[in-house]
Amino acid sequence: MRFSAPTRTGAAATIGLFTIAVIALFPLFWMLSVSLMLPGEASNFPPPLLPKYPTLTNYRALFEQAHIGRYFINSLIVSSFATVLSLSFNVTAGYAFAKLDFKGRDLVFRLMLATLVIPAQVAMIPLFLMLKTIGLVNTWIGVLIPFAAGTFGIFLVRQYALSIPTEMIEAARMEGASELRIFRSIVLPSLTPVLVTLGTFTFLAVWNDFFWPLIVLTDEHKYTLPVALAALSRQHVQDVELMMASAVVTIAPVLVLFIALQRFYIRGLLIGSVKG
Amino acid sequence: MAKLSLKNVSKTFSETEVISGASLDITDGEFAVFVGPSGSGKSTLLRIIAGLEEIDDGEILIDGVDVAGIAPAQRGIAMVFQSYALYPHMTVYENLAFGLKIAGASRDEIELAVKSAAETLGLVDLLDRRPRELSGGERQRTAIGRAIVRKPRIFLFDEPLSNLDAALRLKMRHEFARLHDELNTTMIYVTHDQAEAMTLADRIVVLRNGRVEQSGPPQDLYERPANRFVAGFIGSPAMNFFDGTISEANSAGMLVQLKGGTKLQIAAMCDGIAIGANVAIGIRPEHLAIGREAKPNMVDAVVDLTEQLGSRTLIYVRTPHAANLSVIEAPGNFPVRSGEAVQIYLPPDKCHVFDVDGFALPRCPAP
Repeated sequence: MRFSAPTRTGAAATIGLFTIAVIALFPLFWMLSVSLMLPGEASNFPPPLLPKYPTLTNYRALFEQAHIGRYFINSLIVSSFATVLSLSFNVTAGYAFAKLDFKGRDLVFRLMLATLVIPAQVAMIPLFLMLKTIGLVNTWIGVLIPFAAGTFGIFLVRQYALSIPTEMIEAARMEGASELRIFRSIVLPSLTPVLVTLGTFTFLAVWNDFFWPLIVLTDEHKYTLPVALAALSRQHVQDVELMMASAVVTIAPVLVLFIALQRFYIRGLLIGSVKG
Repeated sequence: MAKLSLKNVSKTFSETEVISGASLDITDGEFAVFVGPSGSGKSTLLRIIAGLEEIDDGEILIDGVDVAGIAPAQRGIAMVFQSYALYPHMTVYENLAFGLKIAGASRDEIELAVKSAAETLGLVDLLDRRPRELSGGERQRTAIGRAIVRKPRIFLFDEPLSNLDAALRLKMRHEFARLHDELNTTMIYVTHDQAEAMTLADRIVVLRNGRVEQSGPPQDLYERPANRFVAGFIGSPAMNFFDGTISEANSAGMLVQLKGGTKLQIAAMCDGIAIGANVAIGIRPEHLAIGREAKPNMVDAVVDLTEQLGSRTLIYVRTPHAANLSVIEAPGNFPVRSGEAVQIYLPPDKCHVFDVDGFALPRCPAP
C-alpha cells in the first residue's frame, strides 16, 4: 500500500505526538500504579509496572493515620477563598485599568508592571514581617493575603478587558445603567473566559504552593496539603507507596479541575492574540 | 421630539482643539446629517450631544434646557453606534429590554415596547436569537430597536451603515427614511457617505477641523455652497475648480481671466473684491458641456479618460487652467475618445466664484 506525502507526514506527526504523550503521562500512571501497591513492593528490583495485588491500603493509611482529609479540606478552603479573592480584586482592578478613565491610570499600571521583575521570594520576608506586625501569622488570612491580588492577574484581566468594545459600555451608560450594573450585567459575562483562566491559575497556584504556607503557618492543624505532605515524607521516607498515594490525592483534584475547565482556559489564554 | 441647539461648543483633547466654537440649531423632528472628512469632529460632536464627552465651553440646549452637566441617560437621547454595540450574551429581546429594565419598567410595559419595536423593524422572529446568530442588517435593526424602545426625544446615529455591504446600505437607507417618517422624531446622523447625506437629510451640517462650515438643506448646500471647502466636499464627482483673476466687473457679473489668458463671463458679483484679485471658479461636473468648436466661455481641453456608467458618462479632461483633471458628467453614452481635443463650455450662471480665503462671492440674481 502506498501513502501520499501528506498522509505520511500526518502519520509521522501522530506517532511523534503519541510518543511524547506516553512519555509525559508515564510518571502519572506509575504514581497511580505504585499508590495501589503493597508497602515495599515498589522498592523491588526491577520496579514493577503494575501492582501484583492492587490495594487501597495506602489511601486508608493516609486518611486514617495521617489525617490527610483534614489537610485536604484546609487546602480546599484556602484555595477556594484565594480564588474568590483573586477574582474579586484582579477582575475589578483589571477592568478599571482597561476601561475606566482616572488620573494617573497608565502611570500606576506601568509601575505595577515593573514589580513583575521582583522575584516572589524576595518579597516573602518583608511580607512575613508585615503580617507578624498586624498579627496575621499562623492564620489562613495570612496565607490568603499574597494571593488576593497580583500584577499578573490584573495584567491578564486588563488585556482581555481591552477587547471589550467601549461602545458597548457606553451604550449601557446611555441606557441609564450604573457603573456597578454595567460591570455586573455587561462586563462580567464578557469576561467569562478570562475569569475561568484566572480562577484556574489561582486555584492551582495556591493548591500547589508550599513555601508561603510553610512560612506563615505554624499550627500543624492548619497545614495545607503540600506542607502536610512534606512533613509526612520526613516521617515516612521509605514508604514510597504511601507517598505516591498522597501525591495522587494532591494532584487528582487539580487535574480534574484543569481538564473540566480546559476549554475555557485555553480560549482565555488565546484571546487577544488572535483577532476575531 | 425636541429642538437641539449648540452654542459655541468647544472641546479639547490633550491640547488639540477638536471642536471649536460649534453653533447649530436643529429643529423639532428634523433629520440632520453631519458630514465632513475624517478628523473633522463629526463623531465627537455627536458624542458631546449624547453626553459621552464633556465640553470645555459652550451650551447644549435641548428644548431650551442646558444639558451640558446632565448624565447621558437623563438627556432623553438614544444612540446607535457604528459597531452596533449589542450585548453579546443577551438575546435580541434582552438587548431591547435592557434599558427599560434599568428604568424600572414593569414586565408588561417592557414586553409591549419590545414587541412594538420588533414589529416596526421586522425583528419579531429573531427575538430569541443572540447577536452572533444575526446578519449585519439584523444586528443593525436590533441596535435601532434598542434605541426606539426607550422613546427618546432625539436619536443619534454614528455611521450606522458603514459596516454593511452596498446593497444592504441602500435597503437600510430606505429603512431610516421610513423610520423618520413614522417616528417623526429629531434625528442626528453622522456619515461620510454623500448619498446617505443627500437623500436622508432635512439639514446637512458640514464640519471641518471641529468647525461648522455650513448648515442647511441639502439642495441649498449643493447649489449655494458658502465656501470652497463645502463646494468641493458636497457632490460626487466633486466640483471642478479653475484659478484666475478678476479682470472686469460688468452688468452681467464679472469677467475672470484664467491662467493662459482665456476670459470667462461669470454671473457673480465682486462685492468688496478688487479688480485683479485672485479667485477660483467652481463648476459642477454636470454643468460643464463639451463642444468641438470655439465659442465664448469655452476653454480648451484634452480628453484624458472616460468612464461609461450606463446612464451617464464621466469624461476626465486636462486643461491648461487647472492643476488637476477636470471631470464632466455627460448624459448617456457620450461619444468621445481619450486624447481628443475638445472645448468645454462653462455656463455663466452655473459658475461659483471663491475669493482667496475660499469664501463664495454672491451670485447675480436670476434675470
